[in-house]
Amino acid sequence: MPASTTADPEQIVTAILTAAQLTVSEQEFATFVRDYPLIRQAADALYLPELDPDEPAIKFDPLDFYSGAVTAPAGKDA
Amino acid sequence: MTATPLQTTTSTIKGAATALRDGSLTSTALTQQILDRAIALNPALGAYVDITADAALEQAAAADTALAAGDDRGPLQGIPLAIKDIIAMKGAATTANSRVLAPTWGAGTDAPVVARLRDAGAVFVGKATTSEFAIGLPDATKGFPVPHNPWNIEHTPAGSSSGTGIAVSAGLALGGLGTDTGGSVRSPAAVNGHTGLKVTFGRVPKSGVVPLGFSLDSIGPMARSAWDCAALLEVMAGFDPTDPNAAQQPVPAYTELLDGSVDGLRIALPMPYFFDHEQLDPEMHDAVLVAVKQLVGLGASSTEVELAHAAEAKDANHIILVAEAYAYHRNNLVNRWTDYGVHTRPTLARGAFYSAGDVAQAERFRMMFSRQVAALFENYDVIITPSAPTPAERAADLSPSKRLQVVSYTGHWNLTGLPAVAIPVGFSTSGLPLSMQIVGKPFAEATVLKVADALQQITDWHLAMPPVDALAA
Repeated sequence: MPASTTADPEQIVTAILTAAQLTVSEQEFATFVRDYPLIRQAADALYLPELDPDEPAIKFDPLDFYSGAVTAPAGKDA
Repeated sequence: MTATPLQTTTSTIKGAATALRDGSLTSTALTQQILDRAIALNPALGAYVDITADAALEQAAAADTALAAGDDRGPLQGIPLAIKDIIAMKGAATTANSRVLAPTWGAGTDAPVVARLRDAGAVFVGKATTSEFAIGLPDATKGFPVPHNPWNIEHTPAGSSSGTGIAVSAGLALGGLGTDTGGSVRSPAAVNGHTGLKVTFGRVPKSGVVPLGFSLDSIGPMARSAWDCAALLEVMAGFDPTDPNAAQQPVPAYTELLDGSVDGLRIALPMPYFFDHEQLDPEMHDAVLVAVKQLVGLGASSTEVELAHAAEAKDANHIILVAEAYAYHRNNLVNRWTDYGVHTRPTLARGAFYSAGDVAQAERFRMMFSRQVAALFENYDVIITPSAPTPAERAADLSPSKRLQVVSYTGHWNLTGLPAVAIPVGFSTSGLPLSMQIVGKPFAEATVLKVADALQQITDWHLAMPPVDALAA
């Protein structure tokens, strides 16, 4: 395990807030440290085996950005 | 100033609309009474950020003139409404109850939903208090009204549509607009003791609204009764090209479908989590089941079912919500952290604490959970749960941290995009409203309103008025 890896909420919260460029008060920092295990627990609980076949709900359709009809050019498989 | 009590017959949109047409009431008189109450009670209740009295009286006079000339635009004509202050409305600023939002946001425009209400002849009492950006808890240091529950001002009116909830409950409007991303229409309706409908995602165009969670947000009607919410929704609903998520679905005449019948209705009661959780207040539990029995007495049937992963669904909704909200607010959080309210900023910042993978996984969970709920609806017409685990909490006990730990019954239906109505079903021994939630299939607003209306035809919990008049300034 690399030396920088840690499970210490204080170090994790420090790293996250630094990466996010957020400057918080000491009291707010203490609250984030206290709440971090709950935040992590909620996210970890979603990694359920039965979700393996599912795609995320996010949809992207490239046709949304074109007002005219768009069709594939003719090719040998067309 | 005194607060003249509303008559029961004119405390609902339906009742007032009848009185406006039989000559026993004018919109000008009704609006003046509502304005007097709003001005007198606002210092104690904090329902409004801005009371637009002059414009309201002009709208009321126009409604009276039109009705007298035979220009009848339907039941909202001349009816005083509250507009949540994250929705653009001509003639008033939109603040989102925040120092951060640009003062020019939405200036001089009506959101499509507001324009529809204006065209229908409605009267706007003013901009109603919201939790900051529809997510925070009140911060008295920021210069915006602190909302209070009219049944007990030491308790929360819930959020984020706090002001509209208070206004409807206390007779400072006959109805209004809220928005709902995780429960923000239904929770205020529940704890303030009236009806509130979260609509199907896309049912009502949400352009002209300050966003919170792009894929979860909806604008919903709040009013004393289900019939009143149906009348509002008839005007609010329908496609608008300015909202990419607005649905191209026909808009039924909702009020005409409320015939009081639930004969043959199949009710699913998801017992684990929604009815047997240790945080569920026993009085709330019992009141909801009494209401279900009343529906069964009218010809419905109820079956206990299981909806797996309900606890995870609450968290998935929260993760998607704060991720989408963080994307919207990130630059301002970096540069203007202390301009946000003390409870708003840590909640929004949670979006930085979930990884990109966590958000994608929450969206995958959303697919699975939606499929599971859809399977349940193959055998049932509605799902019924409590609207909230407890009556209104003491305001002093609330914190963003606590929200992480408490059970919630509303976000599941934002996650799945379904319509859900909260209706009053009694009072706790401490005198606070209890509430039941009725959930339906996509675009089945007519079904959930019909069930709510059937219960309200044989009960009068929704007509109860809180004892606020002694609070008048």
